Amino acid sequence: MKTQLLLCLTTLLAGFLLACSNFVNDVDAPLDINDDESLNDESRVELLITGVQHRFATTYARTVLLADALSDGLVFEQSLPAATSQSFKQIDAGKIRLDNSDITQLFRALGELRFLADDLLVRADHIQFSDSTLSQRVLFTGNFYGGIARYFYATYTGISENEGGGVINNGPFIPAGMLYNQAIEKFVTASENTTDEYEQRLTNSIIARTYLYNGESARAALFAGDGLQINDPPFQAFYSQDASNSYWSEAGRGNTQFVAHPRFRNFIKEEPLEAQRLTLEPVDVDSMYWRQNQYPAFDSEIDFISWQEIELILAETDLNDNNSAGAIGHVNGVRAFYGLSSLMQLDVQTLLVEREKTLFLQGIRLVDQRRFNLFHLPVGTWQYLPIPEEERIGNPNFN
Amino acid sequence: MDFCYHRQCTSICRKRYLQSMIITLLILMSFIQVYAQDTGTIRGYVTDGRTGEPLAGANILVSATNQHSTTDATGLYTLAGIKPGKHILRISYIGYKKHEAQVKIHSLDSISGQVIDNETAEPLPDILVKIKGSTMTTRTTLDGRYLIDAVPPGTYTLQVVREGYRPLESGVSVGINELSFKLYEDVIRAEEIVVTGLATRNKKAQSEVAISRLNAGESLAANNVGTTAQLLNGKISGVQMRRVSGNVGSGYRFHMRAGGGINGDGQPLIYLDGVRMDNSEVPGFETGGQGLNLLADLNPEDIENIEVLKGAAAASSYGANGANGVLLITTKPRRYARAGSNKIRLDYKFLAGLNTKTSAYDEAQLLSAADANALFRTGQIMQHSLSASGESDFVRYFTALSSRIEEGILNSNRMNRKNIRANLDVLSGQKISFRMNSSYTINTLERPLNDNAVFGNLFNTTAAPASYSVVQGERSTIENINDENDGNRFLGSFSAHFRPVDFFAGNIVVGVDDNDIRHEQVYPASATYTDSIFANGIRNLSNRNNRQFTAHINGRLTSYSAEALSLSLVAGVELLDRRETLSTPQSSNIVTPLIRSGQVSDQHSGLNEIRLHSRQAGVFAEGNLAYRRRYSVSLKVRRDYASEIGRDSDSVFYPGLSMAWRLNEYAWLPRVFSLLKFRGAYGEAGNLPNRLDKFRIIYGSQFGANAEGSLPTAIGNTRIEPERVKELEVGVDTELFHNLAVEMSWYRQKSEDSILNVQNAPSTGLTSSAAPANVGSMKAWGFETLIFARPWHSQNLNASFTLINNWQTNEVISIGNAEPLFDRFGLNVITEGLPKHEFFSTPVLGARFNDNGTYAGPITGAKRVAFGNPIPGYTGSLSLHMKIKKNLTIYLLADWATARKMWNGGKSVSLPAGNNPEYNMLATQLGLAGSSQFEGIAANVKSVDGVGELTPGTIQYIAAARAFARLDPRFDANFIEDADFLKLRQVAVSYNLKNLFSRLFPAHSPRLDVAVTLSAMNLFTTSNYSGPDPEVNWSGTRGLERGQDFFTLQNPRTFNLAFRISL
Repeated sequence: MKTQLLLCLTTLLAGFLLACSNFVNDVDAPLDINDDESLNDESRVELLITGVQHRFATTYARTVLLADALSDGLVFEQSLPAATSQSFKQIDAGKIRLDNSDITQLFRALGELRFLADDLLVRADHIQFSDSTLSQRVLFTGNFYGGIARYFYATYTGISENEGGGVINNGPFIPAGMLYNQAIEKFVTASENTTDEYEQRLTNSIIARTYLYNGESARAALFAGDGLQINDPPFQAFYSQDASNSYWSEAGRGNTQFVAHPRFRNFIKEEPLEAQRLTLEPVDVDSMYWRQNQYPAFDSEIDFISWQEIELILAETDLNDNNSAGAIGHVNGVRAFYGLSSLMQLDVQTLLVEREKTLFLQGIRLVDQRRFNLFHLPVGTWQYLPIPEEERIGNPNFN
Repeated sequence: MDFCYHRQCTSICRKRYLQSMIITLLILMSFIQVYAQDTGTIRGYVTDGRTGEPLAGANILVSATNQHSTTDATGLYTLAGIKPGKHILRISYIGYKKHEAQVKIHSLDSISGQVIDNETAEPLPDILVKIKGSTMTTRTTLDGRYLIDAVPPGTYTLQVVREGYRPLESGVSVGINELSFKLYEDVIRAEEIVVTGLATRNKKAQSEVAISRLNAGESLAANNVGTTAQLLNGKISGVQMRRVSGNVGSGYRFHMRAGGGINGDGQPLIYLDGVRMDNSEVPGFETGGQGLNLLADLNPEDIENIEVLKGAAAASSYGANGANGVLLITTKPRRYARAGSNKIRLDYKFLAGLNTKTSAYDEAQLLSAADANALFRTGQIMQHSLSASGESDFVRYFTALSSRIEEGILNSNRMNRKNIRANLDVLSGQKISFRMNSSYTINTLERPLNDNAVFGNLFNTTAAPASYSVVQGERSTIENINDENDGNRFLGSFSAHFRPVDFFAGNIVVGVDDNDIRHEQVYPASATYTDSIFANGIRNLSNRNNRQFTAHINGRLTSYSAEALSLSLVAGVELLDRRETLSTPQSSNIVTPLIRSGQVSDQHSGLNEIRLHSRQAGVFAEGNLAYRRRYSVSLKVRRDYASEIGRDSDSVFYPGLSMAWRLNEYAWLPRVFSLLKFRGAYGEAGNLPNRLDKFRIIYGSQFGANAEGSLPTAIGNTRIEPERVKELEVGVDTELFHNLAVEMSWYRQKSEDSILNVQNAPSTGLTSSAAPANVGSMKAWGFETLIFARPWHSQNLNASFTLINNWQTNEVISIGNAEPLFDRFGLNVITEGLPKHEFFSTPVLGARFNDNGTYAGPITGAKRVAFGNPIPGYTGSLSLHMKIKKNLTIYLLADWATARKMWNGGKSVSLPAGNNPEYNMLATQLGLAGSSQFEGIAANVKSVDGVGELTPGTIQYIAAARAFARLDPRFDANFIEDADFLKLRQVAVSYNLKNLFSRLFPAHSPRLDVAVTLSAMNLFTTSNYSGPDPEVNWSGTRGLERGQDFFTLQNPRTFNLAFRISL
C-alpha cells in the first residue's frame, strides 16, 4: 500500500509540475498597461502610428535645438538668469563631454524613434490586416520615420569631432554616408507604400535633402524637382503641453537660455521686411539680447521640410550646375513669398545667407556650416553631437 | 487415552472490577467467556479430545468454592460468580479420565499518582498523562493528581506531557498504587513541535535549523502590547524590528539576519493559519512618506504563537518567496479550557492607556522648539477584548471580539480597530479533522502629515523659526488637513487533516485574504496655502483592494524500517492567486469642505488605475531520515513557477539540505546536558521580481498635439528571474542543568542574480526606463546568540533572563553593468564594495580661506565616501521575567543597537532657515548672517544679538569657520550621525488576584482567574543621535531609504493598565 501511495503522490506531483506553468501564466492582463505583445493587433495600429509621430516630434525639436546650439545660430547667453545649464554651455562651445546629459537624453529619444519605426514594420509582419489601406499606412509610417531617424544620425551625430554617423540597435558605428543611403532606401520604400501625392512629394523632398547633404547634388536636384511644390503645406512636427516645442522651452518665451546670434537682429535692422521670415523679440524690455519668437507658444509647430527649402535646394543644385539664372529664380521665388525684393545676383555665400534666414531654427545651419567649411568654433571642437558615453559603454559592439 | 483441550476466556469490562480470565486445560477442548461485574464467569465447552464430539453431562467443579456446573447437549458449561484469583477446575465425565486445570481470573486495576515540578515541588495541573501506545489518557487535577481507570493487567509505559516541560516516560505495572513524576521545565521549549518547512514539523530539540518561536499567550499574560510587531520586538535572535514613525498604525521595518539579498526589503513572508497574508505597505498618499501597515489589522490577543524561520537555510521550502525569512502566525486556540473547568472559558480584558512624547525639543538647539512641543498631546488608549473558547468531544472553538481605540501624540492621529474572530476545530485528533478560521477587521486610521511633506506638522514647526509659514501662520490649517484610511479585511481559512492509515497523512489548506482600503486626503477649502494648487482645497482619494487566495496540499508517508530508523517523505503543492486593484481619483479646487466631490470642484486631475493579477505555484518534496534520535538529515527540493518570472525563463529550483546531531542521546555525555545538539543547514530561497518586470516593453498612452498614441513607459526583461539567496547555517543548541540554555548560530549568505536596473544603450531604443536584469551579487554573514538562564526557580520566586546578541554585516560584491543605486535623497546606496544601504556622500573636510583670511567655503572631498550604515552591526536585548509568590509578575525588556548611523535631515533644513542657534551664531561670527554668499545658505539667518563678528585670521575665526563648514547644509554628509541607542523597551508588572477572588467567591474559585497588569513602553532611551528618536525613517518600511530622519515623528512612550478576568 505504501508503494501505491508513493506512486499516487509521485503521479500527482508530476501532474502539478506540468500544470503549474499554465496556471501561473493564465492571468488577467494588467489594466491600462499594454505590454509589447498586446499591441500586435490591427485595432492598436493607430495608437502605434500616433506614438511614432509623437516621438518624432519631440526628438526632432530636441535635435534641431541642440544642432542650432552647436551652430552659430543660437548662443548660450550666460548672463541671462535662466541660463543655468552646464550641458547647454558645453554644446554651445563645442566642448562636449561624453556624459553630457542633454546629448544622452537626445540619443535615447533618437534611439526610441528608430526603434518604434522599425518595430512598426516588424509588427506589420505579424498582424493580419483586414484593411489594406491601414496596412499601407503602417508600411509608409515605419519606413518614413525609420528613414528620418537614420537621417538624424547621419546629419547630427558623430563618433568624433569631425566624423558623422551613428549606431543602430547595439551595432557598430555606421558612418554618415552609409546611414544616408539607409535613410534613402527607407524613404523610397515609404513612397512606394503611399498613393497620396503629397506624401510622395514629401518623401521626394526629404530624399533630395538627404542626397544634398551626402554630396550628391545631381540626385538631389532630381528628387527636388519632384518634391514639394510652391504653396504646398510644409511637413511639420506638432507639440502640446506635455510635449512642448524645445525652442520655446529653452530658447524662447518658456525659458531663455539661448538667444539668437546678433546677426539675425542685424538682418532685420538692415531690412525690416526680413521680420517676415525671421521672428525675434528682446528677452525683456531693456535687454540687449534677442531671442527667437518663431515659436511663441509651447505648441508652436516646427517645419521639418517645406517648399521653400526645396526651392533653395534647387537653387543650390543649379549653382552647382552653373545655372545662375535658374538658381536666382528659385531664391527669388522664396523671397517673394516673404515680400522681399528680388536678388539680381547669387553666389554660394548669398545662398547660404538665404538658407539661414529662410530655414532659421530648423537645424539646417549646422549642416551648412560643415558642408561649406564655415564652422565657427576652433579646431578640435565638436561639429557633431557626440555619441554619448552611455552608448559607447553600454553597447558591446561599439567600435 | 489422553485428551487435550484448550479453553479461552474473553472479557467485556463494565465497572471497576470487571474480570477476565484465560484458562488452559488439558482435558477437553472448550471455550470460556466471562461476563461479570465484581466477579467473573467461566464458560467453555467440553468435547472429546480425539473426535471433537461435545460431551453432554460432564461435571465441572471449582475446587475452592465448590461451585459447579454441568455441560449441556452442546458441551457448554457456565460457571458464574467466580471471584478474581487462581482457581482449580476439576472436570469429570463417566468413561473419561478426570482432569484438573488451573484458571486465573485477573482483576482490572488503575494507575494513579501526582505530577510535580522538580524544582519547586509544586503540583502541576492540566498535564496530559497517557499510556504509551494506547488511547488511555487523562489530565492532572489542580493538585497535580491523575488517575487512569480500568487498566488491564500488564506492564506499561506512562508518558507525561506538558507544554513548557520536558516530557517524561516511566515504566509501570498495574497494581502499583502510586506513580509520581517530577517534571523538569523545558527551558528553551526544546520539546515543542515547531514548523521546520512548508509541510514539515519537528521538535525543536530535533530541528536541523534555527527556529524561533514566540508564545504569544505567555507574552500577553505578562505584558500589554498593542500590535503584533510589539510581541516580537527584541525577543527573536537575528531579527531586528524598528517602528519607523510614532504615528499610531505606522509600520515596522524588519531586518532579518543580514537583509536577505540586494532585493530583499527585510519584510518576511507571513502566513496566518496557513494562509499567505498580504503584508504590503500600501503607499496611498503617504502622508509624506509613511505607507499604511497592514500588520496593524491583526489583533495580538488572537495570536497563539509566532514561529520565525530566519533565512534561506530554514526557508528553502518556501522557494521564491523565502529569502527574507518566514513568519508563521497561529491564532488561538491550540489549548482549550482547563481540566476541571466547565469546558467553556470566557476571557475579558479591559485596557486603558496613554501615549506621550518621549523627547521634547530644546530651544538651545531649535528656536521654534516651543511651537514644536505644542504639537504634542497625551493620546488615550481604550481596548475591550472578549473571547470564549471551549470544547466538546468533537468540536473545539474560539471566538473573540475586540475593540481598540488609540490616539497618537499628535492631534490628528487616531486608530479605531474592531476585530472579530471565530475559529472552529471539528473532529480534532480523529482520522479526519477540520479546522476553520475566520476573522474580520474594520480599521479606521487617521494620520497626521509629517516626514517629507510641506504641510507636515513637524516641518511647519521645526524647519524655520517662524512656524506654519506655508499656511500664513495658521496652525489650524495644518491640523484640519484630513488623512483617513478605512480598511475592511477578511482573513479566513479552511483546513482538513486526514490520516487514513498510520503511515500516511494528508493536509489541505485553502484560505483567502481580502482587504479593502479607502484612503482619503482632504486639504480644506477656505485656507491659505502658499502653493496655489491648494487655493480652494483639494481632495485625493485612493481605493485599493487586494484579494489573495492560498491553497496548499501535501501528503506525508512515514516508514520505519527498524525501530531506530525512521524515514518520512512529504510532498505537496502550494498555489497563490493574487489580484490587486488601485484607483486614485483626485479633485482640485473644491469650493466647500461640505461637498468635496468633483461636482463642485473646478478640476479633476488624474484617474489612475492599476489592476495586477499574479499567480504562483510551487511543487515541493522533502525527505527526512533519522536514526535513534541521534542523527537526522533532511533533503528539501522545491520548483517554483510564478507570473513574475520572465516568460523566457525556466521555472526556478530551490534545494535545501540540513542535518542534526544530538549528543545528549549518548550515555557518555554528562547528564548536566539535557540537550546538546549540533546542526547544520544549507538552503536556497528567492526574492521575486516586481510584477511588471517580465514584460519586454510596457506601453503607456500619451496625448500629443492631435491624438493619443502609445509610447514605451518602461522596459522589462523577458528573462528575468528571482534573486537567489544561498545560506549556510551552523549552530549549536544546548541546555544545562535544566536552567541554562544557549543557542548559537553562524550563517553566511550569498545572493546571486540580484535584480538591478541596467540602462540599455540608447541605440537599442529601449531606454524609457532602465531595464531589470539579474546582474548583482552580495555576500553577508553574521552570528547570533541567545542565552537563557533561570537562576531562581522556587515556589516563591521564579526569575529568568534572556540575553540576545546579534552581529551582522554584508557587502555588495557586484552590481554588474548597472549604475550605483541611490535612494530618493541620494544618501543610501547599493554599490560594489560597500554594505547595502551604506550612507555614501561627499565629505566636508574643513574650511577654505581667502587670502585676506575670510571664509571661502568648505573643503570637500573629490568624490563620495562611505559614512557607515543605518543597519546596526550589533543588536541585542536583555529581558527579565520574575514571578514572585505566584501572583506577582515583573517583566523588563531592554534592547540596543550599535555601529549604526542616522541622517538628521530635518536639521539640515532648519539651519539655512535660521532655526538653529549654533548655526546662527557661527554665521554671525563669520559675518555671513543675511548674506547671499555660498548659495545663500545664511541668507535667512539673522544676526544674533550680542554676538560680534570675529576677525578673519584669528584662531577663533578659523575655528568658527571650520564649525560652520561642518554644518554646511548643502552637504548631506554633515548630518550623518552616530545613532547607537539603548532603550528600556518594555516594563510590566502584573498581579494575579485569583487567590483574593477565591477567598471572596469560593464557589467559583477553580475557574476564576483575575489579573491586573501595568506596563510601559519606551520608558527610557539613551542615544548619541541628536534627533528625537534614533529608530525612525521618513519613507516608511520599504524602499532603499534607511536611517533617514526627515521631520519624522518620534515613537511615543506608552503606559497601559489592563484588567483581565477569565471564567
